[in-house]
Amino acid sequence: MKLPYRKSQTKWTYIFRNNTWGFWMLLPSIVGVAVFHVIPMAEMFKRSFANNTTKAFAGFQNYISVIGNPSFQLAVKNTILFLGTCIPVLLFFSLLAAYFVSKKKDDIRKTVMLIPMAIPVASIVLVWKLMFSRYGLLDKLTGGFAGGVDFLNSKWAFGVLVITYVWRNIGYDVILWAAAFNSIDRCIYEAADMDGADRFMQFRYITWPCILPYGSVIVILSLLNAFKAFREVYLIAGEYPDQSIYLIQHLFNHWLADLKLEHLCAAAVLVMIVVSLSALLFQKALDKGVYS
Amino acid sequence: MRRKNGLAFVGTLLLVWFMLEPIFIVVVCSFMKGEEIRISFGGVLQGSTGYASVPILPYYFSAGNFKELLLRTFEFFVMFWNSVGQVICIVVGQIVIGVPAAWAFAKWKVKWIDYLFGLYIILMLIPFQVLMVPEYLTLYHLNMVDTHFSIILPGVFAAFPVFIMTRFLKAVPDELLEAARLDGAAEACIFFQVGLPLGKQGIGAAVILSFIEYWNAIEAPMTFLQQRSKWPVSLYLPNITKENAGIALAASVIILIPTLLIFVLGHDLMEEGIANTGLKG
Repeated sequence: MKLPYRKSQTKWTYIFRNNTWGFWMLLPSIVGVAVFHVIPMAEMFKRSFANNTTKAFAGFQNYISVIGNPSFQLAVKNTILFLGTCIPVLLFFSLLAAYFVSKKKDDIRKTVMLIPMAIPVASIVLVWKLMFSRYGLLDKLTGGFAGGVDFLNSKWAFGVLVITYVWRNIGYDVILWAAAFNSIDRCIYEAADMDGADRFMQFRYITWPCILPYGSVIVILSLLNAFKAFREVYLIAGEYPDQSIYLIQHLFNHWLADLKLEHLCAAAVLVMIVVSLSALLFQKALDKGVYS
Repeated sequence: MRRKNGLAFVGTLLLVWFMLEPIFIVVVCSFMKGEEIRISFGGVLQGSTGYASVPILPYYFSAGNFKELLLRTFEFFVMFWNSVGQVICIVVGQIVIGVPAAWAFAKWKVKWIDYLFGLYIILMLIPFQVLMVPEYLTLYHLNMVDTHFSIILPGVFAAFPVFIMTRFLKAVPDELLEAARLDGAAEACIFFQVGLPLGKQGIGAAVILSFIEYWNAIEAPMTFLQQRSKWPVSLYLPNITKENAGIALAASVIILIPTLLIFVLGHDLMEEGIANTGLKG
């Protein structure tokens, strides 16, 4: 676009005289975001390279000792195991549910599945204890063959965590999948019917390719929500849970309590790099979703 | 066909049971008297024995737990109003600051704005724990640790509501804005007369999602607030013993009421907001 600025003005003065409204609208948000999120982030990078006691530049020392730390390894292993288990499980069940639910425009079941997302963790802590503790409801059910298990403080805690995550997030993902289903033109199915394609073929050759571009967006949003599963873990199992559900977040909390700030910053940078890469993917996937 | 319908009905019932069972249990138990709670919870409570067994309805309905919680436990009262105050401040702040920003992101055509929006998306995706320490240090420098501001201000400048609202505002047709400009409307006027009315839905969706998120805030208050008297109600968790289980159950129900109310009123907007996170430009 060619701007109609006079010769006495440069392009930039023209833009700032006549097209500044957006800038003033953005300004409060940018300043706040910078102060409370971006500057701290920069500080984090700086600190991750500093020595713990002398604060002098220490190169990659912190990173090396963080990666070698057994607690860090345990936390990373558990977190990856948790994400690797719960996200495929969630995606499968939410896709299945969305397939049944998306046919009607306002299916009440969609709303029912969303309710757990609105329930505060504090409200269900007692119920979880009632269900999964020693002498709890599940222990009573399985009592015959498992014989007295505390599902919250044993290796089973991992399973409880996965169930909790799926229970809380399934509605969110069902809505995302349903939106993907609804973006497909009904005419294609009618044409397929005419050509004699059965249900499975329709899913395999029409639905699946059409919703696939949205899949990556849904994966990344599920990943984001998975980090919030810490809330349940904390309120149910406390600061020191069973080894199988010792997540990155527990480690960070303990290091903060011990004032190992530089280690913490180095570990945080590592996590952030992984998350930012996912974010890039997310944006790419979004663009695909828009134009396909 | 009839058999198929029956199957679907059973499936729906199972689904409802799976999703809502925790609410049923907590509501039913909160109306029990002390002795019945002890029997229902059994060995789950410290100092009791026997397996837990929850009846479908309590034998004796009693609102005694609620009465005791509201009249005798001052701490819960303080924390409840802390939560109300913090959440309202955060949501109002997000709207006042976020809506103009979202409008600029959606409709201000400058080249670098997409990169800035990319930064907001990254911020939105970063888990709280990653930025926990540097944010703590910043709040410390600003003398805000252990004050309500340490929860409110980072919340107000969260990236997520801006993102959601931008997605909605982008759907406002550009032609409408051009028409308004040709008629001589100032940009501020376009924002208030065109953007706000057409973006109402997006704002509503952001408010509901934010409310649910911050009513359930755990990580931030746990890290930034040391005094229990400033904690939000989401951290109200006494040790559950035989004596106070009834009060804890009543507290669980009361914590649940505001978000459930918001959910019932606004689940349509919420669904639309979530769907918009993934799709459409």
